Amino acid sequence: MGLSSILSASDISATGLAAERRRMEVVANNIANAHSTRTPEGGPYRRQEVVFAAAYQNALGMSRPTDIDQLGGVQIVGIQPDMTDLPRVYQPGHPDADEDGMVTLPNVSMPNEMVDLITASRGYEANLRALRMYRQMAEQALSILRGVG
Amino acid sequence: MSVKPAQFDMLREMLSAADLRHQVISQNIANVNTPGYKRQDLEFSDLLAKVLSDPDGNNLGDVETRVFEVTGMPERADGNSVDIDLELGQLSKNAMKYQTFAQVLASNLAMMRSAISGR
Repeated sequence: MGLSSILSASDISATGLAAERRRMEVVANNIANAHSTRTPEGGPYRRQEVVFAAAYQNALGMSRPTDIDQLGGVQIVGIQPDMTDLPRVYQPGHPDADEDGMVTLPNVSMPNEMVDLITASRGYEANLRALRMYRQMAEQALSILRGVG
Repeated sequence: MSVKPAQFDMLREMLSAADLRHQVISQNIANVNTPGYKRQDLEFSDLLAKVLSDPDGNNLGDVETRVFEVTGMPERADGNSVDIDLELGQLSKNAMKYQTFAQVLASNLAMMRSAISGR
């Protein structure tokens, strides 16, 4: 076990933590914009969704790694808008209502966001646990040295 | 008689193997929400054969491993086959193994130390 590999398992867990945290941020942004009818691009806010992909180092064009050194955790390959239909509700008093009194609202639905939030939070916990356990293992290995010298 | 007890190399290999397995389990946990990701595991090729052919453990070298995708696991709707409970169980088990090997190695060293110092 080389010195560099002492840290590699922590790096893998760190990518997982970063990805899940990012996902939570995106969910929080979706919830915050659940009623935003105006965006810089025009039109109401569209729900954003993160896209995860397994990361493999030095494995260009390879779909499956065969060597342990190639495991690189997870990466976010993009944050994409959810292109499902935007709901329309009748609110004639709304400043963004059209001539029929219909307002187009963001396609953010609370149950979906909550489920995403909980999934991300559980994923975060699992990655954290892997990281903690690795630290314990490393400490145990280092304690072998403690008696020597 | 060699100064180095025969178990040293074997224990080193076992620690190394547990360390590598931890990496694969971490990879699976990191990808628990990646659509289409399939659970991966580690294969220790001919480690046993090596140990058997070299009982003194003088020329064991490094552990040879191969990562492979586990097939036949139940998949979620998004094609992901990571079972988080299974991974966390494996994680605990692997960490306990690692700690056991480290402990055995440490007590081996302590025995050697007391033999040298004569106390």
